[in-house]
Amino acid sequence: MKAAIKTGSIIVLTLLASFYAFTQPSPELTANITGSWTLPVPSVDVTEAGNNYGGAYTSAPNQVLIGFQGNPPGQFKNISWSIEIYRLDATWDPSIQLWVRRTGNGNGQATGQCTPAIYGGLTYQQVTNVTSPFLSGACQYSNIPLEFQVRNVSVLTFAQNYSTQVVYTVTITGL
Amino acid sequence: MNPINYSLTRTFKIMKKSIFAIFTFALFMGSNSVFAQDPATAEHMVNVTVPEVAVLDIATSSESNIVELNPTFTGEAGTPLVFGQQNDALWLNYSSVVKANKRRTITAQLEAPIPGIDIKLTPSAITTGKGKKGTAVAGPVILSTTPSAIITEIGTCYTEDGPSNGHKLTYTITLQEADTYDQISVGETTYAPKVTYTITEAN
Repeated sequence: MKAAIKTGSIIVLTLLASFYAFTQPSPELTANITGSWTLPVPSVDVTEAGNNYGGAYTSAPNQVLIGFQGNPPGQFKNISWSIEIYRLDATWDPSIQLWVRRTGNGNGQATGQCTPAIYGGLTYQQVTNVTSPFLSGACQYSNIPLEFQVRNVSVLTFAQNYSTQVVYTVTITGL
Repeated sequence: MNPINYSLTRTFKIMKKSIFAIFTFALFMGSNSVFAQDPATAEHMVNVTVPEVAVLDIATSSESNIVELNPTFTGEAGTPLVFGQQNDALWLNYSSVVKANKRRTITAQLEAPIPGIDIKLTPSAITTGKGKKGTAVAGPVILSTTPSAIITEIGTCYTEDGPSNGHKLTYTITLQEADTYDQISVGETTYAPKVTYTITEAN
């Protein structure tokens, strides 16, 4: 009888534990973006008839800030991660090139177990329609500053508004 | 141990094993839900506005862009002034950015006519620059005070800047085809009508 009670208790506790494990919402990773970039190409850049536009157009060094965190807060204190980047065109001329680079480290959130680190992205890399590696590091980060460049805008590009969406994918690579 | 107790004990043992398996599975699923974390995505827009551009210029390697066209006289009494002099020192440069499927035209217009005399203009085909460059009309075009199209079908393009780039402009001075010799007169100074080039949106 005693054994039966003991076993019954174990069953109840185990079922409760299982129920808890299954019903708890999975912790989520949330990425957040601050900013966007709108570039009005200045027509006065064609100072001489017969000439093309000159050079590239560069955004502010902190035009866009990117970060990511666990949700609910406190999750993923000790993680390694990577960020991939690609371009999803709405209206875009294939001759226009979009480039991006990281201009700072942002704010890494140190915990007892995790030393913030961020790698890659310090030199300009082209953002294409194909996903490509951009940044990697450890611990949660916020406010990673990004600078953009638009290149190859020329007087061979029709006059209109071009628009593209830059998509960042943050993946946990280790816990 | 009676058979009933034996059976209960055996049942509990089996249940213990099952519970352990469930518990282990639950733990595994719990931890796996973390390791199999879905990637997080975020996005923002980049907008580029390319404006319309329409600029043109006259380029020359000479010191000025004044075209000298001077009829000559042989000096022999009874002979007429000789016309047909040409000047091809000027080049027409332009940069043009149009909306999709739009075209532009360049016209030339004489400020004032010269009595009895025609100023004719022949624009050359273009070999420099990039893009949808214009097409030179088959010359010569007799310039008048009404704008005459000399380059058509200009899209988004540039010709390169400076002399030897763009369309070479060849001016010719001729006597008008009708018998207008009597209208020729010496101007108070020199006849110096300006030629104005304008780039406009084609209809």
